[in-house]
Amino acid sequence: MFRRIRILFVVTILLSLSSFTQANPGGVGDGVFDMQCGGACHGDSSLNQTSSASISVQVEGSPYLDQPISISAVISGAQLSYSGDLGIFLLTDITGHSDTPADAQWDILSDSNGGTNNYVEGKLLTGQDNFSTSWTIKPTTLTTTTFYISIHHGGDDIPYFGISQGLEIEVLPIPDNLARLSSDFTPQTTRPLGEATTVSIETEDVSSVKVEWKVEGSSINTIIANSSSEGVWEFIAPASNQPSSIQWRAILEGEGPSQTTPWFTLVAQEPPFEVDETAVYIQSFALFIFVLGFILSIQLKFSKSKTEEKQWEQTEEVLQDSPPTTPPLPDGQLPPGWTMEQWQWYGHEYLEELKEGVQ
Amino acid sequence: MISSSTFHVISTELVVGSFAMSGLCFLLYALCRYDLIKNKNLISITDNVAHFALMFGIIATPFAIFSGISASPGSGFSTPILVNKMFLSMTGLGLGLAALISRWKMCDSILTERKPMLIQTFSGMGASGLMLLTASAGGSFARGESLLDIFSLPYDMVILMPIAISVILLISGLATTASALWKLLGRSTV
Repeated sequence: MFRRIRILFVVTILLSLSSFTQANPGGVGDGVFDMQCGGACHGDSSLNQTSSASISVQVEGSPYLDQPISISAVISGAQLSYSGDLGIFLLTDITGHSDTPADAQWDILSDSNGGTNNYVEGKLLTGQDNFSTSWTIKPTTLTTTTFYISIHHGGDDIPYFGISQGLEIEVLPIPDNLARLSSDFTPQTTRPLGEATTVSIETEDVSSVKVEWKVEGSSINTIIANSSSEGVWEFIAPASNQPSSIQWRAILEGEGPSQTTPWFTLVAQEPPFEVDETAVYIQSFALFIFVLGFILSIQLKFSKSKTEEKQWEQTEEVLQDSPPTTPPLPDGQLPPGWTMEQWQWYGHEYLEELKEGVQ
Repeated sequence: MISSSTFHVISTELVVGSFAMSGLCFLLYALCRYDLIKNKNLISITDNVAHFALMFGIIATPFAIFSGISASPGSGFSTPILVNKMFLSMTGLGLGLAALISRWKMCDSILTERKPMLIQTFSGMGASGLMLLTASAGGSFARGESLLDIFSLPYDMVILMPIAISVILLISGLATTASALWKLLGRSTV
């Protein structure tokens, strides 16, 4: 019995683990990942097939030191519609490791999901034939970097992998008096629902700022930013009552050359739910084992007394072993050749035979 | 090969079906024992069906839990509902397993005395109830509605204990379970 239970237990664990550690068809969530993770997250990178999707990459903005530029990607192809889920990496080489923008001295200021990750996930909606995403990044050293866009998606129970051609970007020194964003400017990427948002822009060598903003699929609106203090400009982004994103860019003018920033994304969303997964797993298992132990213990407690009684209960055995009632002796004495013990056990049979003989 | 989502649907249907049948049989058993249903044959039938259905549901539960985690979008616990599902299903699994082990190791004795019989039927029905609540939470997560929505259950609220408390609970649970199992296994050899 125990052997069978052990085998059942082992098989259950193995089957559960295979399900738990397989590919992540639902995705893993946005994050900062090397390309190697794209293979590992699919269980085994050797299982990956080459995606037939096409990836086009565009750069917007001048790559000056400490000034943001935007890299956008459009992914299209019939194969994407199998599952609709798509994972997209922004990478700086194709070795599989140490290939995030941070590894090449670039900061990610925003991604199209409102975060600052090099890996973002998206879903191709029914009827859509392409998916667009973008990152706003900033070089922190004078360097030349080749960027790649890598995609991962499912279909036919097979993980697919694709990568774009490399796009080389050489970082240039800042020209004199260039109207520009401050080197420590970090754009706001998220905001709560239902509230108009005041967005601040820190600048250098700028005398006026014009802001263009748009909601995806609508026309561009233009507003003049107000100066709140020296080098700091502000504009108000209208409230959004449902999860959505607006994109904005600033046209900076000053004594030197003017400059248009890349598009920044500002996402209105409910605060994301975050929980410590380790705490959840520990509490779940604690609840399971505690309830199991508690019920077993009280069952033992309430059935214990009866069991102990049963253990020492030998009434039936005693009753079976005790001699039957001694039958009356015929004529007041034992028949010849009988002992009293024999009479106790078999006397009634003698009497019955005697009775039948008389009849 | 099938996707985690499909496997999750298959395993959850097995779990919910088994636990629902088990819960109903535990209820009928209790009604028979209290002479609210006067049918002697039903006592034996409901006892057997309740425990076999419970065993089947317990075997299918780990598959449902892990395939559910794998199939959920993003990280495993992206919404409070998924966390509550995990807590409910694991508690239900504990109750169900306790009922099954008790019936297996203590045989008919737990069904002949009043208190152990009450604990047994409440464990079985509790396990079924928690599994049905888990399924209801799954419906709220996937479709935004569930039959139990009429009770306005607080699926969006998570009671998450500090890890230290959970660890204490876990250790005490392990000790209690080990002790109980030791006694139960020792009992059969006397």
